[in-house]
Amino acid sequence: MNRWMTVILTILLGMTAAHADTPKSVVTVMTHSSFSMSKELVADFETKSGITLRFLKAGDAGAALNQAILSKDHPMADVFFGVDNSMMGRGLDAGIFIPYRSSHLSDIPESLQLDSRHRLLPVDYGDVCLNYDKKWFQSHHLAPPQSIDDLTLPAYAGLCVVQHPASSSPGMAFLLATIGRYGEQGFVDYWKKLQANRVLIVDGWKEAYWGNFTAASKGSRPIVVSYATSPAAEVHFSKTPITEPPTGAVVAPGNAFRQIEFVGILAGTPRLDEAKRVVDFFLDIPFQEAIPLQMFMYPARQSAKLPEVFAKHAVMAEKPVIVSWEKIEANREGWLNRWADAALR
Amino acid sequence: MKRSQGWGHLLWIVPGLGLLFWFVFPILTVWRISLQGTDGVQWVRFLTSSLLWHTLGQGVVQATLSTLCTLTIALPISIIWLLYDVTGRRWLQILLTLPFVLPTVVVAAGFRAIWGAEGGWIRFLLEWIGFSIHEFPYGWAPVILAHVFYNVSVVFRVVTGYGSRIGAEVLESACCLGYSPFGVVRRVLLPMLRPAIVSAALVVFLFCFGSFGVVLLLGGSTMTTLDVEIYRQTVYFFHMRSAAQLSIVQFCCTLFVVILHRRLSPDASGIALFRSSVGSILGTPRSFRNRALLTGTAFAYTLSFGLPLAAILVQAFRTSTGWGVDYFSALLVNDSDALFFVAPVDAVIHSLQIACLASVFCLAFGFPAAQFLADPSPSFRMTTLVHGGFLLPLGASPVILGLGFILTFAVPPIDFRSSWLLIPVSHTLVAFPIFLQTVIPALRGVPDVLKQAATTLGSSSWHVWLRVQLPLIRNSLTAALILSFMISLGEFGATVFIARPHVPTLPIAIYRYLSQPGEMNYGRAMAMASILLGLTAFGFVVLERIGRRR
Amino acid sequence: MSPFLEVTGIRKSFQGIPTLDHVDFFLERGEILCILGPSGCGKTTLLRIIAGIEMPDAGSVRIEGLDMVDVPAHLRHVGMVFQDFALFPHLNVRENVAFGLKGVSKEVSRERVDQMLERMGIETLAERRTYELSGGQKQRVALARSLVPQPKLLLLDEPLGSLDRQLRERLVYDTADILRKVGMTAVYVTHDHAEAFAVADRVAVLQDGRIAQIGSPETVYRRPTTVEIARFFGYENVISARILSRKWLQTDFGHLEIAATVSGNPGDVVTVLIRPDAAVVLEDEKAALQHVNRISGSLIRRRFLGSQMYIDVRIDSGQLLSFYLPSYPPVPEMGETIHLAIHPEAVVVDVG
Repeated sequence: MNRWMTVILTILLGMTAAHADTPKSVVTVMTHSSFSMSKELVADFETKSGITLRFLKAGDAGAALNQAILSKDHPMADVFFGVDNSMMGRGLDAGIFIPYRSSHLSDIPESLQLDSRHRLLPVDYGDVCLNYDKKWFQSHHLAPPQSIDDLTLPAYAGLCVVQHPASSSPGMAFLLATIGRYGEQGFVDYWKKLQANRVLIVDGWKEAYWGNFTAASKGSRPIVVSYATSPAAEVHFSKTPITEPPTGAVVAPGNAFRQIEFVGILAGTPRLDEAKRVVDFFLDIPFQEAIPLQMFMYPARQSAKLPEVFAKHAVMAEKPVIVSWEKIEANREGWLNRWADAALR
Repeated sequence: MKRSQGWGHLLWIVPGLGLLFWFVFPILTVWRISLQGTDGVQWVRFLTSSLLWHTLGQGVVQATLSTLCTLTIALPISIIWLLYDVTGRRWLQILLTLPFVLPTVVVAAGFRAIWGAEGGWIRFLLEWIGFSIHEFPYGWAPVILAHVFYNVSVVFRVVTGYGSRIGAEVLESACCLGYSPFGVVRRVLLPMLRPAIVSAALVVFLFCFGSFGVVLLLGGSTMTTLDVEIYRQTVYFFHMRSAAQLSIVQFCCTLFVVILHRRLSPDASGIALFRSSVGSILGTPRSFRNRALLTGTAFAYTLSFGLPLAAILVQAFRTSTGWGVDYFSALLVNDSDALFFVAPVDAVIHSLQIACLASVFCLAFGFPAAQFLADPSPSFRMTTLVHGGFLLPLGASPVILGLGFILTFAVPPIDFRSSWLLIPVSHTLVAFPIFLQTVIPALRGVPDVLKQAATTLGSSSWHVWLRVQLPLIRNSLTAALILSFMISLGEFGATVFIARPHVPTLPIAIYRYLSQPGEMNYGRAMAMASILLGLTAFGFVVLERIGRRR
Repeated sequence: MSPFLEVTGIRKSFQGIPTLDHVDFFLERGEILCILGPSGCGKTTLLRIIAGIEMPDAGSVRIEGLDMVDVPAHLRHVGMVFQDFALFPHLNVRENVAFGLKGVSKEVSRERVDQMLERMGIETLAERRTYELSGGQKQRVALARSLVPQPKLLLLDEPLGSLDRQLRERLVYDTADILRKVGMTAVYVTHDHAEAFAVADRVAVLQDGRIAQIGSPETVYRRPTTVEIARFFGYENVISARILSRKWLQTDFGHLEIAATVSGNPGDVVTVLIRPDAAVVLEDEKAALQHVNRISGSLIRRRFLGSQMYIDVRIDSGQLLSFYLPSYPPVPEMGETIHLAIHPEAVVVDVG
């Protein structure tokens, strides 16, 4: 018995030693689970600025924002990375971001700067659209879908997997695309038809893409809601070098939704200057140029150079569906409820 | 023996304070913040909303179905195990109890390995038999199956523990009175086991009704329970008011079931989650035919319960180049320069450290509480209240608890939020009821006569406690410690809300790896799941040996 | 005609140690056989083998001529009363007693149960739960329960073992009466020979895994065939004697006239036993000389037992002999010389 007590105490003491003091100038960045960045880049910034970056991954985008709002009296972080335009209304209404007019904003297109007061600064964007598995359609002698209207056709029954808009931001984006395309009354009918056509609804993007998409898993659905940059990702991550992406994206006008991601400084942070420097780092060219291959989004800054695989294989929608964030914020809940009635019951 | 010493009455204070601070306070904070400005009208609207009743209704139906299925599957093997020495008895016991401590993420992975997209060869086998499965069938079937998989352990342990006190003579006399073995089971054994069966059924119902991980991972978008709904309302919709109201309803339901349990099963002292295992009542089955039948049944159960676990092991060892330990060696390598790489070794060590801490906390807080609850207090009401209070964490939604922790421990100087203390504390809360229900029956089982004899031999009450009671419950105490350790190792629900990227636990790491593409990540996840399986299996082997030690 | 119960060549070992080693006996219909033996000698095992709960390693059990080897316990119609009664805790007394009745209508069942309860004198306990009963009441319920289904054979495993002496003495006659009244064939197992003698038609002594002696109670007690059996009955007066003639033996304390016939030739040294209950105190030496068989010695121990006096006498050779004496004639004090007369019938010969 004594022996065990000694062992336990040693482990406990070891733990207390390991979790000793934290260094002084640490900026905590709260973000979602899909955030990714190269260690070198971050280390480089840390050395040059003397600031240590600590990342707090708090679940997916919606969950992370909720936590930030709930803890606004005693914020858990200094900077928030990853609010997208479908939920920025919630964050702005809660008043948890303070304005910051970064010098890099001049290089970012006006169309992306949705918040005129610069409480949320755009950092990257992407188009959410349908992706399809080229090989599957070839072997099944079926033409791949040309627009989202096609999903309601009998030929495409049981072939599509989408994400739940409440839990997934691409899911929400796709819902918004249908609302933008068919209108606030028409989208319900569309989803009813989709449900009749045996669409599969899963919780998150990862589960849809890496769990059920035929091109990326042993699943059985050759059509998935993903990003217009996903085909480029397939080329980049392919084990053997390929020249053509194995998947295609449906980016015809009115078929994709432009999703913009923002970064903001959380109100109440005691390290305002350091937080500003971190935001500048996110908007600076090195970080912006790393975004495509790390997170597969387009950098907000126009002068950021795109990697080759992006230039060759990534596509952008010409006329994406746009719904204003104020409208989204006002109607989100009602739309979600009606969507659930149409698609789930 | 009346608890005459004054300090005995106060034993519950320290654990009570702990519970108050770490559990009640955070939850009240969440409720306070969420329900600000809620008036009667809104309450009425909530109480008549379809959200509430749909969730409750579905939860009750699902829990009832799950409980019935669990009982149907668990009772035969429990009775067989209780009565006879079947081959592989010890391993069967371990295998049937193991699922209890496994994290939902591992069980879901195991199920999916069998049915889902990744389990190539098993799906091939099933298709060969005639089941054609293309996609993982989210919904009621896998959820109920997973619930059965988890909860058979509860029924098995409770029923066999309680039934081990039945002597062979009662069953043999029924035999001599003309009843065949089936008749004896139906008319004598089952009625005698009724208190244990009722108790286990209520516990299983509670677990299934409050199920979170299983329904979330396997249920699909249409299935819900109170816990899952709280999660959805909080995380997806940010309806804090509804979430808080739902969690209040959840507490009421838990309280209701706990009270029902006390009413229907007054002989609570006989029902323990761990009891020193004894031999079977009737020994080896006599006729060859019986032996073959019983061994066959035991084997069928072993196969069914071992299949998901075996699937995990298979996935861990089967690399793209054939069988090998590549995935395991990959655990030691940090081959990505990504910022958030979780070194698996770190996760294992963290989990072990946290588990140690959690079990020590359980012991420090749980033992005084158990001691208080074990001796019949002059005030029965008080004991019931305190006991119910300590069992409340069973009904706490991990979301609310996690949120509570974040919101409460924010005011300086108590800035714990990112502190490593929160995770062991949350594990302690989860394991606490189990700890209590293992130690209390043991304490109650020490015959008063022994304590009185020691007193007449001149021992003070402190001495009696130290020299008589403590050694006698040593086995159960060690078992409770080990159980708490293993529950902490496998805890997923509450941890997922509190964990920080630099302090991952093993289940969290498994979950993260499973969310990433590529067979290397999947393989690593399976390798870690295998390690978790190995650790818990080892824990149970130790537990079983303690049980046989007298 | 073959006997009702025939047990042949039963052998049973536990973990290599033979508990029963070739047990043979038979039982006629309506007979009560008592199997007597010290604790742990295998009596319970034997009973369980007859009931069918345990399987022997070798040997057979035949009931009414039928070999029971393929008949499982619940089809043998053999009732058993267990040592700790084994009452069903989830049923009350009436339900316990009625348990074995199958295939009869409710009214018939109730009638038979009530009849049995009355016969046992426990009809007032019908609605009680089993944990509310005293030891004696439990025994009667257990007996009632096993008798109600009218089994062919009843086995009783030390049914009075857990009761206090007074209760035991009373119940043993009640039990015997009931069994005789219903004409039950029974095998009764006990370690208490007084109990055995009260109940049994025949007594079988089980020693070393075998039936060492079987016979009527009087025969077995008065003429035990081995020293072990004798010791079991409480005989301590084992003496060696030389045969003088058919009726006379030479012992350490003098000549001994015997009533039984001793086998062996004059000059042989044999072992004989003197029953402890067959001595009479003589007033003095003069009176002693009038008796043929006399023992004189000093009184070493003298213990008052109520209706009897237990004494240890040391004779000249140094051997200690023990006797139970009636209260009258009065027994001398400790240390004094005591003269005892032994009835020739009290000498047991042919003790192997």
